[in-house]
Amino acid sequence: MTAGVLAVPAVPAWLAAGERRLYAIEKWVCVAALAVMLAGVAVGVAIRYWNLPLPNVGEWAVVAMSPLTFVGAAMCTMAHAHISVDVVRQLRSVALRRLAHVLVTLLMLAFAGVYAWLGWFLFADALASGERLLDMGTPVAVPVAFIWAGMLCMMAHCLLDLWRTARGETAHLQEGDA
Amino acid sequence: MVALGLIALLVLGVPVGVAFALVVFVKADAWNIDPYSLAALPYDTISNFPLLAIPLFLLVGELMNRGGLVRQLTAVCDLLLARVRAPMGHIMVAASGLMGAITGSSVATVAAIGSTVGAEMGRRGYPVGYTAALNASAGLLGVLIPPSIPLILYGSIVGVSITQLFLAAVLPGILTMGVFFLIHALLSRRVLPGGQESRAEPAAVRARQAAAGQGGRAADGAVAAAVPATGRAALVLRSVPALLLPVLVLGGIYSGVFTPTEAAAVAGVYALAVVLLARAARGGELARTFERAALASAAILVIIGFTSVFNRAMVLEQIPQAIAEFAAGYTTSAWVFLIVVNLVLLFVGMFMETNAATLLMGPLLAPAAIKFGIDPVHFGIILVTNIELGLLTPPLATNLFVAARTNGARLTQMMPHVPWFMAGALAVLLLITFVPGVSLWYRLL
Repeated sequence: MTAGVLAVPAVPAWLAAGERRLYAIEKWVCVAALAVMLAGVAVGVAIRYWNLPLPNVGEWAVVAMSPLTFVGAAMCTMAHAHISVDVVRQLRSVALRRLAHVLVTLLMLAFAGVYAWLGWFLFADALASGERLLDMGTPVAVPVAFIWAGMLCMMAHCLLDLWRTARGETAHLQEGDA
Repeated sequence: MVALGLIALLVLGVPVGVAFALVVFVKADAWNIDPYSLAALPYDTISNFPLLAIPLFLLVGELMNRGGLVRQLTAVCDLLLARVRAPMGHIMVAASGLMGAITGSSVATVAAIGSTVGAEMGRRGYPVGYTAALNASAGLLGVLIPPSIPLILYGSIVGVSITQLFLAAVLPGILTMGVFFLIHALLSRRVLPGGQESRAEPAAVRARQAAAGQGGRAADGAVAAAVPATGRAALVLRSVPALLLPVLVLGGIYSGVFTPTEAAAVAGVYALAVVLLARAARGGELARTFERAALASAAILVIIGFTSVFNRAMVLEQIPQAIAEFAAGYTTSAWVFLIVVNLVLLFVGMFMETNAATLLMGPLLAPAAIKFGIDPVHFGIILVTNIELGLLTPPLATNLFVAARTNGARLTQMMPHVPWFMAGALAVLLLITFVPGVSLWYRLL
């Protein structure tokens, strides 16, 4: 254990493995969302250009923005890939950098918590209303569910990040490490 | 207080989108914002068809890199500029312009060109700091040469024709490219030993290699003139897949066949087909290419989604109107207004990501600009040109960070060279600001 750091146990191996699995799922969801966007818009162009008797599948591309943004937010949290101002990282003091990291992670945890809570209400509303999108009839609850899911994943990454930082581990603070 | 809190959060290192949303959480009561709308707003904002262009163009950039299309573009520039002194720097600028005409993203341009041309510049004797500075600066062309993601954002949020914005950005983009050529021509005399690259040949040998279907390193360069025409033709022929991409994107948009967002998807399918046909990536590598694009897209979309909460709060608080009234009361001169706006935007660009700053400042300032009789298309070009300069100005200087990482340079090595390119870009900005014809040239035709 590093001097001056709380005496906390290491993140259990099963939990660390679980987080890696979660990250792999997030990556898969985001890659799939990107592929749906590409296919959806391209097929939409083909449908219009050749006047094919098919509905506008471009709707699915717009729906895919939700997982890419909200699940992607969780992925960026794990990979430390969020865009931020890079002032504190230039500090020489490791203690100050760690303190700033803890504060930032706590704020992100609060943010994700609030949005997970709000996202759940939005999802429940969408489910209860049975509202659907116009072209393909996709239930609005589908894209909205990703707000809630993405923010829950973000919370999980923040909590484990705090745990590792409390133990004095610094390897996970490198950008794009995941 | 809000501004101070926001700056404190940003300096602390809170992700930009999260910082903006947190400020609104704290002030939600005072600003009479329904907490439930806080969840719906980011969702509504990102569920917008024009915004699909961002992840799709970033994907195009990644696929081009993977499929060797960036290398092909660079080889053609190399061939065209072989007889110019210190050609690699010019190639970096020209290739960035071509890449900008495909991806519309500055960061994608810096990463793609830096990883291909940057390494070759190092081998030819350019200091790594200069290479990275030129790479970061030339990356601005990614935004200025249409298509351009910030212009798509400005057009969709202010309600201006995106195609008109693209047309308006053509001349400013070419001017900026010309200025960067000039600055490189002058600076290369100072940074290169004897003002010459250590090996100044590549087009010739590469052409010969391309014709022979070889790769590898080039030998002595004085043979450029001796390259057989068939070798050059073979190189151009091999680069046709890359050269067709800007034609497809820009031709499709301006001929009205598809919108900028659709152009991004068509370019994506095309680049994917090239990667698959060239067998440039297997399943796993292709998945990693998509992953990188997804990660970069998510980082930007988080900002766009969550700054919308702050934008809404500003609108509810009637801050845009207040600024417009202040500006109108402060001065009746459109010129003074433009000077003030440019200073404000330069400051904002130092702290905010380009897309977020465009989304925030566009609806804030465009109504005031229109009140002063400034054309919203002209104002859009001023706004985007100005904000994208923020990509070179710390603390949030994304192009500098990406170029430093791509070229293996330290910021301190880049800093002596960046101000020259910054000064050139500022000169173009002044021209754009005070000569509306530079942006609105297409209306004279």
